[in-house]
Amino acid sequence: MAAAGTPTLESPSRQRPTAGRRQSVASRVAKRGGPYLLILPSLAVIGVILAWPLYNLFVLAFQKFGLPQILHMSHPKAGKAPEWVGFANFSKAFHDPQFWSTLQRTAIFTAVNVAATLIIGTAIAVLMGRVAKSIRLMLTAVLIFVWATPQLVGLTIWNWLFDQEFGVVNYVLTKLHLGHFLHHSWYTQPWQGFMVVTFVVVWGAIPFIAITMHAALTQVPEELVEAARVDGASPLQVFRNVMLPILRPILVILTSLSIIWDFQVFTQVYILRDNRPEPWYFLISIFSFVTSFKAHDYGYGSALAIITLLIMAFVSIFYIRQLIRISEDQ
Amino acid sequence: MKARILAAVGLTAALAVAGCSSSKSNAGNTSGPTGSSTPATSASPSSGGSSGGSSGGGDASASGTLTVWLMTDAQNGWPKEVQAATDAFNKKYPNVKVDVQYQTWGDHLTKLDAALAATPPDVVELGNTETTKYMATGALADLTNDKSKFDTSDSWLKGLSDSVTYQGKVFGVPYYAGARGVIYRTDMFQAVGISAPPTTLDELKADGEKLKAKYGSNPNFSALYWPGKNWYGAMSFVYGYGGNIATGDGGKWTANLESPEAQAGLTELKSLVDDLSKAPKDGDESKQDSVMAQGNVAMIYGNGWEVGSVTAAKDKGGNPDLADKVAAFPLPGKDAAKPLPSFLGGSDLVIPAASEHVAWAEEWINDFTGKDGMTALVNDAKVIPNTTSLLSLLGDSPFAKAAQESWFVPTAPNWADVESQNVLQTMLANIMTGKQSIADATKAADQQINKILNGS
Repeated sequence: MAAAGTPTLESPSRQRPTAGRRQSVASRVAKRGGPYLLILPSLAVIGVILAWPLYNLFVLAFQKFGLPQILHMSHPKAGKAPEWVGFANFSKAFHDPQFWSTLQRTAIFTAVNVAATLIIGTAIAVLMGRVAKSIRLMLTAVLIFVWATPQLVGLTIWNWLFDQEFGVVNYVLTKLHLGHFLHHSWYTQPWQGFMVVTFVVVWGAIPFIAITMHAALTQVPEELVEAARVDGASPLQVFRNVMLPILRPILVILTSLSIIWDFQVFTQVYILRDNRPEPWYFLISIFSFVTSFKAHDYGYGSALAIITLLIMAFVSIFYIRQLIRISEDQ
Repeated sequence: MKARILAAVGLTAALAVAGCSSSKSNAGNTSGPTGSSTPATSASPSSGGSSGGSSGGGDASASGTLTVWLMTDAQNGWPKEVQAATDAFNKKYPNVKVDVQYQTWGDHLTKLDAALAATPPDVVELGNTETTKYMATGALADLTNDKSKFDTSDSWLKGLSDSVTYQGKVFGVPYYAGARGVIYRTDMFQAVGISAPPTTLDELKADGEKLKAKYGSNPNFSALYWPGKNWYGAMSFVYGYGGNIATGDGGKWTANLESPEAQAGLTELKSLVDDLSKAPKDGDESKQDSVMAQGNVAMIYGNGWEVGSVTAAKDKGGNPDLADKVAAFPLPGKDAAKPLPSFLGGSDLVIPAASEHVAWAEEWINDFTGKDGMTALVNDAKVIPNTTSLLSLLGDSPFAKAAQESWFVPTAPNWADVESQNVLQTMLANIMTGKQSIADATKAADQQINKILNGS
């Protein structure tokens, strides 16, 4: 701010003939530089917490980096200096069957979770538009409540609910005569385990989707919907042919955001599996974490993180393109 | 690269906030961190710690902070002894603040890695299966020449002193050990007419059947509650049947879980578990003491201190009503002469090579694990002491007996990675849930162990 302020402060004291011209130069600088100055603090923060670690992540991915290299950092005489290994960590990933099976698992998990979140979220949003105001308020309050629940707190509760020995879920299912669920372990079969994880992930993601979609739905002009109804369109046709095209931009954004979130799911699986997920519960994020922090292979772990990052960057293209389109339309 | 580690440190710091903030508020107190304890001299001046001829005296002018990482076992089980060590230390170094931070087993190595890259703590508790990797990489201070400073170093328990020795050098101080045994409900045994604890596996099975016959109508009842992933217990069967996890020869390691002996042990275990246990087949043993406290379990296979947690106060997850109804016996073997070997678990205290306070750290460790400290610890917490000279304090405890017949993990530098990647737990979950046959599961585990132990 000082830099922008200085010329404007100086200019009034200048001699008259040149003052006008100078001032316009100064104000032009202020006009152009001002916005950049204003985003400078956030850029600095992003630089510190995002760009710098990211840069180091890239460096690590091209190095052999383990416990000896860690020691070397604080104690140059101990351990070993990091060694540049080119693309060795990446080619290790591409030749690692565990990487491919984990990637496949993550992709399927993401697809199921994104679909479930969007469908249920949109359904709730539509519902919110139909019900009485008091019910809508109650729904919103509940959604916000879910949204505000810290992830770890929520997870601990879910973990108790699905506990094999003392879990309420097993108890209730058995009491309802839906099968013999006493002492049923939800994690022995991975598909059941992932069902629980999906349940928890979708539960946590729905509030944002539902509230955003509800806001988007209120933007659909009432007369369009009425016109369609008058022309004899069924509710489903109204939704598909009138509302959906208007909702498309926001849907693209929500879908790409959901893909990014669900592809990176970590905590839910990690906590539900008592901090020790079996290999068949590995998602790509967990695989990367375990490789780095449990097996001390920080180089390979970083390479895995970068592969994830590249996949996410690809998805975010759709998100950013949609954002640009929206701002152009406006 | 530093930043990535720093990010991890940041996380660590965030996780440790509770510990830090409480100690910081102490620091504001000008009377010193242990101000309250200085006048409380009921512990008599003789506990000054110099009994073993340690460097003596200390330094009243030295000031700074000694950071100590202990496991939550100490926080929950013997906080008094930790405080006593700090008090003894502060008599010699009144101006050195001792900051004890409690860690959990699940993530303490991750945090240690992060700390080693920046500012490591001065004293760290490591499990005796975790030390080798850090000794081999040179992360720990070499204490070979200072060994005599430690009170009981001439009689350290072999299972522990081996775990702090690498290529003839000493890198740590044994802290305490634990052996496992079968903890059982004496009242239930009496109710079905069993007068003496079983001494063979066949007797154990027969007793289990009797218990099942009487209490089996309760769907939650387990005669022997054995979570599938209890790998310490499972390996007792492997070693007891003549097998082992892996053997080393000149730096090359070979995993042996698919050997007929190891498979025979695991087969025996699986039939026992299938028969007598309702515990989660893919769960671990971390909750078994509180499950036993609920009253639906006749036997668990656990550590000596778990007797205490089963009968602890209600708000600590125990059940005081069971106080005089719980006892223990060694896990029986095939024949009465030889119980199955117990894993000799335990902890060591080490000093990171990068610590700036090695002398203080040695002093504090000696105050904590020297003769006085250890006597208090054994009397209070019933752990197995770090020295054979104090074993008699335990009397004829079944756990002390179990410790005499013990097995230990392979002393390969990369062994900690086998543990932290849960190779054996995964194998056991596969076996116990029936997802894989014993042959397939052990073969897969062997491949993974070979890869880890022989990797660079």
